[in-house]
Amino acid sequence: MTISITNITKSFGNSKALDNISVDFTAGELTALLGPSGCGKTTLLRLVAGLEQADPGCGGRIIFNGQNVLADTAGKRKVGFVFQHYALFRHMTVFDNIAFGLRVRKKSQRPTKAEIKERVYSLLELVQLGNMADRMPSELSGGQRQRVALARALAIEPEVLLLDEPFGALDAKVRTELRRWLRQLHDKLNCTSIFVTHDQEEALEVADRVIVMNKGRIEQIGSPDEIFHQPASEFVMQFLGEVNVFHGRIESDDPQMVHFYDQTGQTDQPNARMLIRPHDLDISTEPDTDKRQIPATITKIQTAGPSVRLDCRDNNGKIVNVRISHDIFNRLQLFIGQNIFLTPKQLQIYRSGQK
Amino acid sequence: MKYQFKQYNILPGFGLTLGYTVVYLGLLVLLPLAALTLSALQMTWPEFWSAISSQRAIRSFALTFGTSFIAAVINTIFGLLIAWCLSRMSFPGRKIIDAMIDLPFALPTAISGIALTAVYAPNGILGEPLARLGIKVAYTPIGIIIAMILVGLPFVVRTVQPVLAELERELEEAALGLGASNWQTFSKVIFPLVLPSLLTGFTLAFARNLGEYGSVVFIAGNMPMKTEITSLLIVTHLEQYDYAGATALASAMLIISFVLLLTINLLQTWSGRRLK
Amino acid sequence: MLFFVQNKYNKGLMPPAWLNWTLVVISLTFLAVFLLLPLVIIFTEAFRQGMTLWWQSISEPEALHALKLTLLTAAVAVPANTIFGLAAAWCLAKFRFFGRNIIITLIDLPFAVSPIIAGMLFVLLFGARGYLRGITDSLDLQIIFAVPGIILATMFITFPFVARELTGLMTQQGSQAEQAALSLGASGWQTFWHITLPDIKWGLLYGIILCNARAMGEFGAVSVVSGHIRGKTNTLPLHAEILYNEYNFSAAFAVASLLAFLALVTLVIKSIAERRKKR
Repeated sequence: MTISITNITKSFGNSKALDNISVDFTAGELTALLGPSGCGKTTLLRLVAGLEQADPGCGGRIIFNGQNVLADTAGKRKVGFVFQHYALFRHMTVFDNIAFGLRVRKKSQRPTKAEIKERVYSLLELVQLGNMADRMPSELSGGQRQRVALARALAIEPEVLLLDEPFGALDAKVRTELRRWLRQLHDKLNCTSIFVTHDQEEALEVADRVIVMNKGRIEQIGSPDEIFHQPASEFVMQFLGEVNVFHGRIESDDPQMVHFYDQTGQTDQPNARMLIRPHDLDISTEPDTDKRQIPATITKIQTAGPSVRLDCRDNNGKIVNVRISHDIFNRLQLFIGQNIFLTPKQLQIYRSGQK
Repeated sequence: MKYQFKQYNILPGFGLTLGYTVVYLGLLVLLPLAALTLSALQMTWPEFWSAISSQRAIRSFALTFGTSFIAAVINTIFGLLIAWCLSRMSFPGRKIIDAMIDLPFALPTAISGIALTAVYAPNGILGEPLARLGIKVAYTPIGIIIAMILVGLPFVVRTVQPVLAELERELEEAALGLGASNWQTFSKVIFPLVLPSLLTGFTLAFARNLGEYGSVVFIAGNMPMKTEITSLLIVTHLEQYDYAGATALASAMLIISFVLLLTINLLQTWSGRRLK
Repeated sequence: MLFFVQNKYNKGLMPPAWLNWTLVVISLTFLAVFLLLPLVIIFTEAFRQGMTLWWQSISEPEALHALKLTLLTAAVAVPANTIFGLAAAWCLAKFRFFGRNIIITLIDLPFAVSPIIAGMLFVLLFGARGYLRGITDSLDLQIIFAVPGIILATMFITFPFVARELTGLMTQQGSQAEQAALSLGASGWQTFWHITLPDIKWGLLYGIILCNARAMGEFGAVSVVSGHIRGKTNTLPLHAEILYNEYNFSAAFAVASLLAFLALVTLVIKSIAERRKKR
């Protein structure tokens, strides 16, 4: 099912949770809504589910396979929604939870008892909880509850699966396992899935497409690669990982001719920022006049971890973070207090006033 | 559209339930209150004033507010003590006693009144020894206070108890670890945190005592000017079909209790806000 | 004394044993004098002159009539207030709207109004010169000094119990489960019956039982509107009062013992509901 959202605005009181949003979700894709808390991602998800209503008068539309569903209630939209804290029915067994969506159907559309039983058990098999049918939700671990919630949402055979922070409340280890599992499940199900997350790693690892949101607006839509390597805005770049920020001044129209100093008094009216990721900085111990280099001094070395993390201080006293591999670190034999030269491999320049 | 009556909510039934609630409240509460207002407005000011400023009325106000206040203070002190014992100590029978605290909620007030009178009457099980000591309880203001202590007690205990139970024990350990004595820990750490709920409990007990009737009328003796509470004076007016007099007293009573409760509520909001 | 007093937690402030003892003994003495003694007196006085007299006192026609009227009052007031409580709690707990706080304040009102004044309000409406007397007279309906007045006054006094209890409980539980049910295709009623109601049933029972206790035991408000007509407009508490004022103490206490027993049953059910509610 393709979902197309156009010109949707949603406000709570005076603040706009969503500000004139338009976005399409391709059928069969797994899309991540990524952003900091309060950026509107959950609101967007709930709007798709029919749990929230767009501002009357915003003129927006939500279209499922060519049909405007804006006026339809959540039950009518046949959307599988997995709540952040699962919202399992505490007084029902796992079986009854999963069967609920089938049992509340009108008599004419309700499957027979045997069919319901068969469906529930096959779903339990799918979420790998085959022997848990008679447990109460309180007797399950977090990861198991998450999977029951998923099975319950899938029971009504939705063509759209929506997940609100599906791994938010889980331990780090369970989380990575479930991530991979969710990806496999999505591939098996062939439905359009959207999940909300504030964890960029999760979004990049699991999703086909990522939508980065900030303050009720969409910052960028793209594949994980595009988002990571070609961030459309400074916000996206900052949100997707650690960055070093240098302030400078663009003096001509040629964006290559940028003078970057640090802000301490040397630059009059800096009008641009240069963003470099810690792993996009090469280290050399000798200066190379052919390249644009940043001279710096090593102040701290942290070798524990998959890569080596260096804190360096540039001539303006600003701390620059650098990440290099253990191989390079060993080859260069770096030490604290050493003078080094940093060469950016990849950088992004944003004019001030530009987002 | 800037102004919204209600935020959108997917749950159904808002119109039905709100409509029913408003109609029910309107018929059962607003209509009768309107009657009181109308009745009060029909009186002239001198009429109203003479009804509430008669010697008998003033004495009844003084008696009602005085005894209610004293009883609420006693309730607050012993309520804190009982809540402390129930939430912090274990002793045989604690659970039964915990359940018994609500007895005054469940026992019809008239029944507590009759029972208290039997206990404290001059020939009663406690009344007799007290009378020998020269203390007369039944048919005096002391009796009224005792009846009010009974009905007001659960309000304090039930407001303070959950707060005491949920107080982080780490706070106390921190205080003790910093060298505070037991008493300092209680008075400087626990008490200030419990104070807002204690004030709430006091307010609730005081309000309840002001309006108490059933348990008081039996033990009070109901002598005009001496042991006649305002509620009883209102009944007397009603029995003589003096609706104007009853209206004046009732509105005065309502206004005074309302102002009092508002003051105490503000005080309590203020002390509660400082803790946040 | 064989029982012993201990700190409940092995953590935080732990007063010395002698202080714990003192505090508990003071508390228990206070409760014994003000709560337990009156309760014991009711039963000892009621049975002092034997079971036969007790039975006679509560089975004479006037007592039976009072019992019937009390049960009738509760049978009308409790269901009415339960339905009201469910409706009020649903809109107050699940929705945010303009005027919500006004309704909450109105629901708290009977707790702040003296029962006497509550009864008086209905006298002003329906009494000898009542504002609605014209309407009731044309319908040939007597309200004051009759059963409808008793029921109305009782409803006024007891309507907050279920509403307050459920509003708190349902606000605390949020509406995620209901949203989940609706998104799975359940109708509004299905959601209420299968999701909301099972979650609040112990709170509901708690509210109903307190409402019932107050409805059967209300004295002040009922006393103002009833007119104390024996065998006609007397409820059990009013009947006990009349007997007491006639110095017929043993009969008065027999009736009182019946109501005290009801109070004890209420306390037991209430403790059970409270414990279940917490789980």
